[in-house]
Amino acid sequence: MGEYFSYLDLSDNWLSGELPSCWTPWQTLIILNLANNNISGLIPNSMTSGCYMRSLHLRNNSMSGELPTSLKNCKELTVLDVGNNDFSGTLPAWIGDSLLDLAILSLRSNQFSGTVPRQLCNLEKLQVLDLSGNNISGTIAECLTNLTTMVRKESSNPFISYGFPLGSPGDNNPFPGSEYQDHALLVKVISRSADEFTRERSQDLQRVYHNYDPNLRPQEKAVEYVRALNAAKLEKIFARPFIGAMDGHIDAVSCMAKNPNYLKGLFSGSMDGDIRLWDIASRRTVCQYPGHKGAVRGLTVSTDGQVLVSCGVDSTVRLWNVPVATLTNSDDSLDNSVEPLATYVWKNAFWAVDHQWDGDLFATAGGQVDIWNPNRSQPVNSFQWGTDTVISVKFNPGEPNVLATSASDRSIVLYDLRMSSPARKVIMRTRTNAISWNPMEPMNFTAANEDCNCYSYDARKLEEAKCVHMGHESAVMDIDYSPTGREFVTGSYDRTIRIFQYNGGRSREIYHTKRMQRVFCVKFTCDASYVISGSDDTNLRLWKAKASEQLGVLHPRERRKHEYHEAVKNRYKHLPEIKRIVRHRHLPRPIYKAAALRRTMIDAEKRKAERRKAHSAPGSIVTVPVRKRRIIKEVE
Amino acid sequence: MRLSLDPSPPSLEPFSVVNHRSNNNRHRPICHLETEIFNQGQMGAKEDDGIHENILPPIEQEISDELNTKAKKYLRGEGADLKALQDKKLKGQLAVREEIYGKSAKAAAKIEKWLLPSEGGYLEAEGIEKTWRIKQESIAREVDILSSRNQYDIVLPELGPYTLDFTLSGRYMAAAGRKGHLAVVDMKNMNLVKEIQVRETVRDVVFLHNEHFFAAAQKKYPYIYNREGIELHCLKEHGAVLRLQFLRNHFLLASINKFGQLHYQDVTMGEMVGNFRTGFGRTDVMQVNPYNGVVALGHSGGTVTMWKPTTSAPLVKMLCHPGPVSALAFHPNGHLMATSGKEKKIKIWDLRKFEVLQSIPGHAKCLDFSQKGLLAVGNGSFVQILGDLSGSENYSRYMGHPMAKGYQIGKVQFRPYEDVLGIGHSTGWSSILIPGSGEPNFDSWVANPFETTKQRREKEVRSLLDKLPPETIMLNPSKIGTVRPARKKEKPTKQEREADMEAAIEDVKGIAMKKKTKGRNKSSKVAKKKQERVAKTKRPFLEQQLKEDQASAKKRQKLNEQVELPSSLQRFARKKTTT
Repeated sequence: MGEYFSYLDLSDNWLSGELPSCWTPWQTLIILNLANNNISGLIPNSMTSGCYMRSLHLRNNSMSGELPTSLKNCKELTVLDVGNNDFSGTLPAWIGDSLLDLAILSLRSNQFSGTVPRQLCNLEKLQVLDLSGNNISGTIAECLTNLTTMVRKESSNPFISYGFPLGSPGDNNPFPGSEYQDHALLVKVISRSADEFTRERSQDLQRVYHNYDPNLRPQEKAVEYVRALNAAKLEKIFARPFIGAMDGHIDAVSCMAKNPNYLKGLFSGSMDGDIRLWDIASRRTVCQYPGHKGAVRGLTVSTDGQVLVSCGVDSTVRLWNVPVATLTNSDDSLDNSVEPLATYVWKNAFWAVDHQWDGDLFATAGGQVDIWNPNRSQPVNSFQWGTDTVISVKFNPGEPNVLATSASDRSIVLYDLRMSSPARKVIMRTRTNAISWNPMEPMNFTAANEDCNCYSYDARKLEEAKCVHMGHESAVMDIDYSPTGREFVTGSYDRTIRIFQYNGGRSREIYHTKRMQRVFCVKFTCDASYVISGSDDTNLRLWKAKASEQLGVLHPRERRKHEYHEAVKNRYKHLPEIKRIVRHRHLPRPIYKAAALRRTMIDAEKRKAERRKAHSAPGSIVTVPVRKRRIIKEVE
Repeated sequence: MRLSLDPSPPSLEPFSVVNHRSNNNRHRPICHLETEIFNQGQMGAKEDDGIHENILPPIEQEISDELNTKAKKYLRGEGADLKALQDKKLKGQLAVREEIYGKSAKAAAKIEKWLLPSEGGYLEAEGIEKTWRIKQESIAREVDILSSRNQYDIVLPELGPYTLDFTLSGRYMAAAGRKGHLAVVDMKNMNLVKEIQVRETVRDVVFLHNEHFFAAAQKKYPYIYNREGIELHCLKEHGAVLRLQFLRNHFLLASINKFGQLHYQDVTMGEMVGNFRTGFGRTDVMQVNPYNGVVALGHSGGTVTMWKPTTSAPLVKMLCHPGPVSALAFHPNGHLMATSGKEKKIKIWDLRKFEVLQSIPGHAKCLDFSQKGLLAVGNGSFVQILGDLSGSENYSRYMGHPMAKGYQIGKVQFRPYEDVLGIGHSTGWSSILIPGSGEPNFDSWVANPFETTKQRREKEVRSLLDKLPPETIMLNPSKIGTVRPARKKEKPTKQEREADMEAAIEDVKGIAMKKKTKGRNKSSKVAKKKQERVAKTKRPFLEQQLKEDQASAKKRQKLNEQVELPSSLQRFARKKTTT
């Protein structure tokens, strides 16, 4: 019968005495459990020579002596538990060399001495190593980190990788009689200690954690919509575009010029012949240039920012020296009166002047277009196409020799200085008051027209406007592009200033105040963040280009918040509620009424045209698109 | 199962766009993270990615696959179907958009490693050992001391049965004993913050937006208390409330009273937003779907109805059980609902299709889903935890916990962001450990268990700024900002109908007659047959016409009837149900 023994469990009894050394069944045993008895003596050599044992439990006995070296032969041993005995001697190093299958090694509460042998590191499958309650000294070998099975890496990694062929019936525990049974349970729960998740000292920053899981934030789309709505409302609340007025002139402001080399400087000319240089930051006059008799109609500054050119109805062109900006010159400003560098008298009154973007020449408009060299008292060249007065002139920012003019015979003419004759001409139904080239797309320009609209043209293709910008209720007097080329500002006879996208049919912004009268000139500042208007009421006014923009230095958090608001507003801009809030602008009653009247008129006209078309022979009436409707013809 | 959806689709006018061109239902929140990551993003990714993926070594391929599955969560659904688009410009714009979305989802998945350092809890059994045989005691031996403190029984036999509620962060718990005992407990250090005795029946308790306010449904009215136990409001309009729920995003307190009336009150302004007679009788089974804010009621007839505060009729009415519905719970992702009936069935429903996914035998007095989708079932003195262990929405036994005999469990609720289940029962309340139930990583801006006073104040202001209007409660909350589907084609005009009929008749006339046998091929018979055919084709058209005429006549008559009533009697005229 003994030959078939493979599992012997005599644990938890009162067995005493020594183990017999000559008992043959040792050879066939696979599991031997003699734990919790009172057995004494040595481990017999016969027990361990040529054995197939996998599990040996001798816990809680009174056995003594050293572990027999013949235990080496039990190469399949996975559990060796000899705790709570009186075994002595050094820790056997051969355990690490031969018993490579060991998963549990318990030598606790014995009399073992010496150091922990490095060979233990070879036991790669070791999961429980219990050496407590011994007289072991020395250092623990670093290579113990090799025992990787002790570390639980992935849940897929089986903790105990062997199965027992036999088990006591009804007991599912893989370690029968072992005190390590609970280790089979793999459990982890969330446990947050307050020390880890809160700051150590009050000077520290609070610890914050992020989890972008969409499940944690239900209804995020609705929340975002509400944020967009709030952002739109906040934008309206903070829309305070007017910064301040600059008074000093005693007659209407007729023209302005930016200094391309100095951000804060701005020149303005008035109807009484006064020219002033303003410091925009302090909104004060820096100096005055007296001399013109009668209205100043044009101002421009040379590319290097050294020379100011002015012209007026007194038929003179005057060149002035621009003072170098210093910090102290704003105090005793009014005394800084200067004499002109040169005064050139010509045959007719002037209406406008513009300097080349890159070059020495400047052009004046009046009876004809004259090209001047600042060192000569007479124009170097003159152009004329038609007999009427030329009222505005603008050089192309990209090609210094090309300029566009508009005349009171309702024409817009393009000139090339390299040719002796004008290049092209387009005649519209109404007069163009001012022209501005797009600095970023220099082939395009926008014309401010008398018929309340602005027309963007491609200079190469004048038979059709690229875009018609509608909105003003009266003649558009002046126009200026932002240096970014994405938007432009217009001033109108209807006492409002509007800002348009370069391709937008309707204005993005309308500025007005009670005291601002007919606007004659507008300018975008060179940093694209402010707009300046000059009007009939002798004042210059400074506006923000974005009505609700926060001025001053922004905290990065503030900036991010503004960006976020902009983004959500943009995402939900199509929704009716947000669209309504974002689009709404308050208008003064006269303008509002004029707009309503104009709308009815346009609608009536449209209706009439539709009816006429419906009641005419098919094809006899062709609807002309708005972009072409106001153009009479193009002349080459 | 019978299912009737709201007859008129929920009105979405303020949130829908008619002419918005993109038909993209997917929603991505705008966050700073995205933009920051894009600034660092790699350029020209598309083709490169394709090449790279082909030559990746197997391990990296595995990593990228894992990343893709992780990124799926952040993609929030399918992208736009670019192939179906005709408009080239729109297609281009959307393609760019989609690429950006894909990148940002990937980035979010990549930084998970750093942002989400904590690993969730788990419980695994070895070999033939089963997880549901594992006892709380053996778990207690395995876990750290801090966690093992979460296992306890508070025995308060005099004032029970108890019901519970946790704050969103899981830091505080409100407990209410039937006999008037109200307590707020700080769960982090087990401090009793405040305890009061209101000396009347308390049926339910619920926290408002933070731990400083809670509402208790008492004998006659619900009351709102602050943390110091001071009564702030008595909400008389609600009546004798059986169950309270708080909609956190909308700041609405929803209640169902003894007469089956559903009330919604805005707790910020005090305005009564909705007041509806459900018409299904008394019930105390009420649960908010956290995904969309829809309130579900379980009725004694076995129906479950879903409500929103802006319509007086239920959005959904579904017959779930043949007997009374005893409990109800929603999965946090909003797609699953668990109901239990008195006929010993627990059913798991798919709320996207309104179909039963699974029917589990068993009673349930109370149900609750955890953040990670475990379902707690309380019945008698036994709690069972079901888990979707295979990931295929097939719930099976995960854990169980028998309470002392005689304890009647009245409420189970998982503690958010912890592996803890709170149990309210007839002799107090208990807490047990359920590994793997809670979300391991919290977000400081959503719910912070370690919130400081300053952060709480900040959060209160922010959440008030983001307070959603009641109109945003709808069955599918991702509908906001999408395109309203095109209306069905208008009815054909009279001319069109006549033209159709003419065409049909012409078709019929054109069909050649079969040659019949001698005698049956008479010309008179042929002519008759032809006439019959024409009449047959005409018939449906004429019937349709007749039906419409009758309907319009009825309408006209109704209108006349209404006009006929003298003005003093107008108020008795039958009103149409407002929808």
